[in-house]
Amino acid sequence: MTIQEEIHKAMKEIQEKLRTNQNLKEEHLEQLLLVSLIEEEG
Amino acid sequence: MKGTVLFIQLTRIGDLVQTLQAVRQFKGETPGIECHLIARKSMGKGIDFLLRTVFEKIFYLDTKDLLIEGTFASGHRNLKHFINRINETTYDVSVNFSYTKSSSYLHSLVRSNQKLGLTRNDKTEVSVTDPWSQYVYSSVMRGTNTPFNLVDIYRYSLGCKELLVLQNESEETRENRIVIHPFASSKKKSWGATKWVEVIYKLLNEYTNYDIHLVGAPNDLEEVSKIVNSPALEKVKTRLKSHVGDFAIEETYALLQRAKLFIGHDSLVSHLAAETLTQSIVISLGTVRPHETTAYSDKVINLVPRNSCFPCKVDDRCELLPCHNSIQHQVVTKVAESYLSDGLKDINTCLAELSPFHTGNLKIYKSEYTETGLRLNELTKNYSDIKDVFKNYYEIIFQYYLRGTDINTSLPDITVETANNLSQYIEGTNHLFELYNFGVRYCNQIIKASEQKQVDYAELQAAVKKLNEVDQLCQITKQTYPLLADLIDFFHVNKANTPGNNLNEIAKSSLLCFYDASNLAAVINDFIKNTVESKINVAESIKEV
Repeated sequence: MTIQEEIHKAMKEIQEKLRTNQNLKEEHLEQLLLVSLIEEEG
Repeated sequence: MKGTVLFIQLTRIGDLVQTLQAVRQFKGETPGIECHLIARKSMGKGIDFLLRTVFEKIFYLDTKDLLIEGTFASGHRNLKHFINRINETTYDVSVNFSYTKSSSYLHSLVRSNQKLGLTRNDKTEVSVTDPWSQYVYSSVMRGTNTPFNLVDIYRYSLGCKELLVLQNESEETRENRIVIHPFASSKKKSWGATKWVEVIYKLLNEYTNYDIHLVGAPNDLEEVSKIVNSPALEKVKTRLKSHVGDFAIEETYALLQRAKLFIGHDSLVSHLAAETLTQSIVISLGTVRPHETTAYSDKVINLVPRNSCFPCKVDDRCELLPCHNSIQHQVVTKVAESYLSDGLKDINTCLAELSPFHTGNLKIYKSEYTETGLRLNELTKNYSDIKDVFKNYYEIIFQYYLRGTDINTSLPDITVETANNLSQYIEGTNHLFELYNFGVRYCNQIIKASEQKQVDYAELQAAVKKLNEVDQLCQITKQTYPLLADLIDFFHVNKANTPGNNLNEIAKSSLLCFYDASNLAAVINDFIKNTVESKINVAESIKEV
């Protein structure tokens, strides 16, 4: 799996949690942080 | 006082220097406090020598290092390890001074008892609870009319009361050296090689016992070759030394320590010049917002175009760069003359020697320290335009509202045309005052209805709907009266972050927001009337607030 595919999978899981109104765990916030760091650095 | 504070600054090097300057003042006011910093490695390493003078511990974040094994899962593991290292300390306070997405997530993961600045709640929504950070988030990030220097905003966020700035204690004399940084991070902010050649030519010919040192990053090499290889500079070339792409930041800092003058754009090097207490001339172009980002020093002359499009936004397209032509090289060399002859003592006489052709399209500001922080005083004595007028108003109301500080200042001097434009805002502030009062009324309805034994949900729903309408109408007012945006946006963010666990509590907090907002709208309304009344007669058309 490429990094993009891994990101896509993690984001899908997080979106599902948010959609169903579940609180996010620390690991989800860490994943969001990593994705935003990657985005910001292009 | 004992305690440990963590600062997050994930933006550029200039922002890191500004953070350092604010934290240094904070530490001066609160001895015994230990300060840690999280910064990007690519931004912080170059000024590590400066950061270590203030921060006891620095965590450098490097995305490339995190992803070194090439998978997202390993990156996640490395990031977890990085955060665990930070969380070995439970911080008394953590402060996020960068308003980026990544910094908000990072802040939410940091273990601290109190968080200032952008963070995320457990629904990953942006949360910003302290008022100065709300001000930055609502006004500084969006608008171009901030009256405060960023270092002062950081100081205010930290609750600093005193102004503790670097003093010149060194007896060491400076050399006949001028340091020039003729580059900027974007084309819009950079004057261009031709203009710089004119400045350098004039200075080297007039000051024959001076050397000029050019500094810059490796990616400025192509641009610097246009300057050093210019035929106009052929005869004075031996006194023009380029360190571009060669000097590390620490070496540039050392060079500035012994220089008599720095000339350049609003950039990292201008902040380094401030750190070394070097007299400076800064040329602000394009997207630069001088009131916000001028280097934190009382030794700066800032040259600012008067074009109505200045300052523009990063996304604005501009091919002709009209603001670049508003600043003439004669002005730069005249200010340099005043610096080098008597340290600006006779700057006004010096500027009077310039023709209106050279000064007609620019504002010349001199920085100075006041009780509240760094202020830019205009030397060119132009009439204030409408943006300046609102900048003054916002300075007064936010200093009072967020810090309890009164600022005594005279009414801005404006033209009849500006008075006419400004008078339009009397109606805008009237609208806003009424809207915020409707907000007070509907919040009261919600509080009352939710405290009944038999809750009338239809009544509650109707009042909530009305509050949404108030918000929408505020946005429409902002579109019609764009200079009211700072007030409208601040209270929008302030209200969105009001505390409360249920409708009743939230309504009570929102009521206070609406109440304060209506008062500030009335104050601006009053300011406008007082400003315009000596120029035009608006009494009959004004509806009393």
